[in-house]
Amino acid sequence: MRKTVNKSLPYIVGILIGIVSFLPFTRPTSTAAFLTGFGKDSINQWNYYLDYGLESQNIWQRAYVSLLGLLPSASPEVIYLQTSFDDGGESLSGNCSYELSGEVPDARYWSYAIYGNDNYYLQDPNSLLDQPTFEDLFAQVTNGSELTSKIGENYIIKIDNNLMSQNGTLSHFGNDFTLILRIYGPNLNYYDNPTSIPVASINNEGCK
Amino acid sequence: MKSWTLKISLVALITHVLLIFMGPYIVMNQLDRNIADAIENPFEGCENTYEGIVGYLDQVCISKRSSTRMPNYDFMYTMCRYDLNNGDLFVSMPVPEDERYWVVHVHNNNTTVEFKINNLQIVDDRYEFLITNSNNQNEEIKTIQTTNKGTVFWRLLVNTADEITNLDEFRRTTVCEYR
Repeated sequence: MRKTVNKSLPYIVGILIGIVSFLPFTRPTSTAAFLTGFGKDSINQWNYYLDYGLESQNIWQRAYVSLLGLLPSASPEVIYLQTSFDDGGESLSGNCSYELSGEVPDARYWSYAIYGNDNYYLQDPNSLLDQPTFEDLFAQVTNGSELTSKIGENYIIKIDNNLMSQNGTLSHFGNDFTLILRIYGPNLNYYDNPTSIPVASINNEGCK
Repeated sequence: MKSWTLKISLVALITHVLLIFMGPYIVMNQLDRNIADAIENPFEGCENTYEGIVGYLDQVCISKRSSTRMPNYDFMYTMCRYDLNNGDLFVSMPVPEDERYWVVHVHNNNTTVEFKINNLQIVDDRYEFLITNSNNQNEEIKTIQTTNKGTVFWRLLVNTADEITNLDEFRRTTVCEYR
C-alpha cells in the first residue's frame, strides 16, 4: 500500500500543481493578465485591448479570453477599455459616488457598461430578485445616443446607487464594480497611436 | 529526489497545457449545455428565445446564464450554434439599412474568429452565406470554411429600451438551415 502511494504521489502532486496553475486563467486576475499580455497596455487607469479576438493569439490568450466568457469581436471592429480604479488609484466601490468625464471618441458607436468584479451583471443587494429586469440592466449601460455622438464633445456620467433612468447615468447598486468602455467602428488611427484614444477621468464625489 | 522533481514538473506541465488547450472547448461545451437547458427549461419570459438552432437572445435571458459574462446590455445578440455533421449551414439574415451598428462574426469551436462583416460593408438588405467544413467553394454564394462545430454571432445595437420590440421582430427573419 505504502509503495503504491509513494509511486503515485509525484503524479498526484503534479496534476494538482497543473490544475492550480490553470485556475488564474479562469477569471480576471492580474497573474493571467500579466502572463497573456492582456491588460499590459494602459492609458492612465484604463487598460485597453485593441484585439481580443486576434488570429495570432497563443493558447493561453485564447483560453483566458474564452474562459472570461467572451465571444470576442475581431480587430478592427471594436476597442475595449477597462478599469476598476478612480483617478486617485482607489478601487471603484459600491459605497461611493463618482463623476466620469470624457470626450466622445471618433467611432460609429461608444458605450460604457458597469459589471461586478466577477464580470457578471449587478443587482441591488438590498432587494435581491431571482432575475434582473430590463430596467436593472439598462441602468448599467449608457451610450452615445443618451449623451452625445458628436466626436470630440465632452460628456459627464454620474455613477451612483439606484440611478435607474436612461439619461446618461450608471448604477452600481451598492456593489464594487469595474467599468468597460466599448468603442465600435473606431477610427483606425487609434490602432497606430493608442494613446490618442480619449479616456475618461473618474472622480470620487464622496462615500458613505 | 531528482526523479520525483522531474516527474512532478513534467506531469504539472502536461496537465496545465492540456487544461489551457481545452479551455475554449470547455466553455463551448458549457454553452451547448446552457442552450439545451434554455430550450428544455426556459426561464419565465424566455420561452421564445430559440427557433430551431437560431437563438434570439435578449439582455435579460442571457444575463441569467452562467456561460455569459460581460454582455453589452445595449446589444441584441442573435446566435446559431451549429454542427456541420448535420450538413452545410445556409445562413440568411436581415441587415439594418440605417447607420445602426450591426456586425456578424463566425467563430470556430475554439472561439477564434473565422469571418466577420458589418453593415457598412453590405449594400443589400439581406446577407447570405454558406458554412462548410469542406474545401469546395460554392460559386453562387459566399462560402466560409470552419471547424465542424461553431457559432454564428450577431450584434445589433439597441439605443433605448423602447426599440426592443421592433428590432426583435426585424431580426426574427434570420435563417440558419442545414443543406
